[in-house]
Amino acid sequence: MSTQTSPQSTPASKTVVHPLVDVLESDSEFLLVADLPGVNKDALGITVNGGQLELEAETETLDYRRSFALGDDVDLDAVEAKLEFGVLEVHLPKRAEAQVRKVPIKG
Amino acid sequence: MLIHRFNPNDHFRTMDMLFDAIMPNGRRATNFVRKPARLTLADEEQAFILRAELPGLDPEALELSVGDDWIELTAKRETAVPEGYTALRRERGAYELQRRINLPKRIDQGAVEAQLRDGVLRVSLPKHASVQPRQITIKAA
Repeated sequence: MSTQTSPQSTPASKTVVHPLVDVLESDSEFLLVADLPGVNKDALGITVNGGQLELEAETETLDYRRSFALGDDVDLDAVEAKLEFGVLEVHLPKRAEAQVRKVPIKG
Repeated sequence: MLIHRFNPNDHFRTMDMLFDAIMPNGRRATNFVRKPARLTLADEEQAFILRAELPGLDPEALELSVGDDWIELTAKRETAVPEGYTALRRERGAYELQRRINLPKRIDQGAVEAQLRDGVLRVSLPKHASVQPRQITIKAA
């Protein structure tokens, strides 16, 4: 979990936009997928802080920003992200105790 | 330019947009959503620059062809929910576009360069020598 403070010095000329996202859920994790065309790995910041996931990214002309509320069942230490072709994928694994488990029944 | 899908029946959103319009850039409460597959064409001195936001596009699914004074772009992206996942929210759409853009001047077809990086396509279309500006020397009479 990182708790870095994000720099607030954004030039006024940049337009702040919400990236479009998909939020998917499986038995073991949540998956956040965001369209961030023109965003380079170095210009992207993901912060997890107090149950909030904050996304900040910059391109030459735009400032992408959006934050998401995280449930208690997300394992914050195991969050992983990948950026490819301008699409960001954030994997948010569920805590072991929150995962659905099949209980075997003895006959 | 800001693009937001305007819905005349969403009065709260409309109010937000009105307030946003009078607020300085950094203080906006609501943010705008960009339309996917946005295209811009810039007319520079030496070349036309076509820029397209195509996030998540496989380079294989992109086709470009140029003529004397036009460029044609075909791109397709599909978004599917991977196996084992259920969607809680889906905003990213699939897109399929086939656009032909007429250029106001002749271009040098052989010198066209295209690059797809971080989901942004940038095509440089150098103007043909016959339409480049020429300096005229003036003889002293």
